Amino acid sequence: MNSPMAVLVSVRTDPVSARATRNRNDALAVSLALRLPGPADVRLVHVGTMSDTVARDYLALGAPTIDVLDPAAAPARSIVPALRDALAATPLVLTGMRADDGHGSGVLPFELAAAMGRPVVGDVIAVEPDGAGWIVTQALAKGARRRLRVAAPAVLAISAATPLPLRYAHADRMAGRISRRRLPAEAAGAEAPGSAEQRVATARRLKLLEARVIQSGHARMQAAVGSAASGGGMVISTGSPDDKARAVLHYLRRHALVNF
Amino acid sequence: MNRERSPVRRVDPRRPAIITPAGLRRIVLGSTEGDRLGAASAVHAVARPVRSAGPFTRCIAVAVHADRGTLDDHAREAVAAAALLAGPDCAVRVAVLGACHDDAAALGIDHLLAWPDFDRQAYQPERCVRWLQQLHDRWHPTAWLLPDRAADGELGRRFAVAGALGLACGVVELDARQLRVRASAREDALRPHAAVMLLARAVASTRLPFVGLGGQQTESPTDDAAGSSSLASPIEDLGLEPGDPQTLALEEADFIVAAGNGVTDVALFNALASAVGAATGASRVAVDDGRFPRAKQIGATGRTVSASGYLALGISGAVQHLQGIKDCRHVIAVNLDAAAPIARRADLTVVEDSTRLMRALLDLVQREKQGAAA
Repeated sequence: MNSPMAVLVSVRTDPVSARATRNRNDALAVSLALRLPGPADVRLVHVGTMSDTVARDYLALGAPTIDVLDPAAAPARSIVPALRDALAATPLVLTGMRADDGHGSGVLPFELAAAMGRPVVGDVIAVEPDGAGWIVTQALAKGARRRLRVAAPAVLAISAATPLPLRYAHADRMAGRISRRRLPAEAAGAEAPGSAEQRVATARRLKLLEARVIQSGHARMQAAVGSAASGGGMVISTGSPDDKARAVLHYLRRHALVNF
Repeated sequence: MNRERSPVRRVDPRRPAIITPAGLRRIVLGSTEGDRLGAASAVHAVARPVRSAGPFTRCIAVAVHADRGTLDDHAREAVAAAALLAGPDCAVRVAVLGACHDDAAALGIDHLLAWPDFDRQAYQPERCVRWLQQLHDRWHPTAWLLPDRAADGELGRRFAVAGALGLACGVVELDARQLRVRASAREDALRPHAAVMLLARAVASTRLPFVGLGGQQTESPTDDAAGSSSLASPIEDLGLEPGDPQTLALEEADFIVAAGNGVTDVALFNALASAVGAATGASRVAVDDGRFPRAKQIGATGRTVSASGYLALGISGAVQHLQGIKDCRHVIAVNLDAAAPIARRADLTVVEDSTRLMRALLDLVQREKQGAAA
């Protein structure tokens, strides 16, 4: 229970075969945790039901143990208090960015960090130990990278774009240990806010939210045909190549596409 | 390959035409003046009415990050969704992190509040959340809408968790009464509106039949010393380095220069790309001819890019290539043929030989850089 880091893992149901497998983002988080220097005392935690197959799939990454905590209460209850109690003594908690089942909202790292009173950093692709804390590299849009020094304890959400290989070793799969525990009923949290929802089959064609405008037939035809009044933009055909190059550079500068 | 001028004169089927003051369409053979497309320019923009002049008892709020002084398409869709959901007594208030030079009324905004000196490079999520909480206490909106992508999605999640507000992420369909989220691979969930809703792409149409009031204000959130010092200790910002365009994946690049059939001088093209700080791509013809590797192909079979700027040199703009640049924001096309299909897609078309324009642009860029350095 006093391992230096824990990784939260989830179950993914394959959309085509409906088979339960491991989540790739969580597997990347596990691989990243296993690569951190120090004792390989990485503890995988799952709250909910997880079959042995999926648990062994996660152990095949090289992790020694996985704890499956079964909440006794209804699945609609929030799992954050149970996780908070289970991980209170762990300085570093890693998660993926979002799960595949259960809405996949990606809000668990933030909820858990708020419940535990820890800072949370998302989109992490690299972690290096720095004394008691860590230096994490965040992957931002357009290939930018930001480095942050995070003090212990912390929650890190690992990005799905982490450049790590995922291994699958049969020996580790067999040697790993699955420990199953049942959580006490009062450990569950409040009703999850999604309980007022209604489940329906997936809709492929979605209805766009738009204004209902009463138009003449001609106007509706023009809109459907896509008369593209703004199509084409500006055309420059006269002038020397230098003038045209100046026009191009002026356009790039006006829209801040270049930075000089 | 350089196509010589064939002896048969190529007639442009869409000759440029102007609309005379009498309303008749007039084509002058041989002239380049006028609009090349059909009756499009005859449809003038009708003045759109104001959605609601007030009095407002409620409001619906939107929070977005500005992208280089303007709101991009995803942000505009979130604003349009707010405008469409708002009733006659509900105001549309938008909080923008960054400067915003857009026309607020045209986007359907009643009150726009911008934070002009917001520094995108600094790591300050708690400060943004505190600002949103101040606005929440000031405005009491019925709902907050944010686009569900990188910085805005994280801000929405943090804000909802910090304020213990109901949250719906990745909303794919929105109605006056309910919303739809993807619950799992096989199921969707329909639920009533949440206090904070993060919208996916293409939830609302940005073509609004009305305008907003368009009030604009700026504000710099005051940073109380107690709040900032207590949160300064756990996380320290060590700096941000922007991505190197040459080593980046094409899908992530921000500015792309692409070569097509009309580009023969590959060394000049690469020199221009590195001078301008852009990633390089190519169309299928250039890749098939062996001038570029297959990994650089952009199009339906190649990569789909979503850059902010795309400079297409010597690309005719076949449909398959246009599929690859569907999400690009600003497209500049350089082509000898003004009737090429890419002219319809491009925001700026330059009718010029690609090699000559590349040389002129490279000289200009190098002169500007030297002038700036000196």
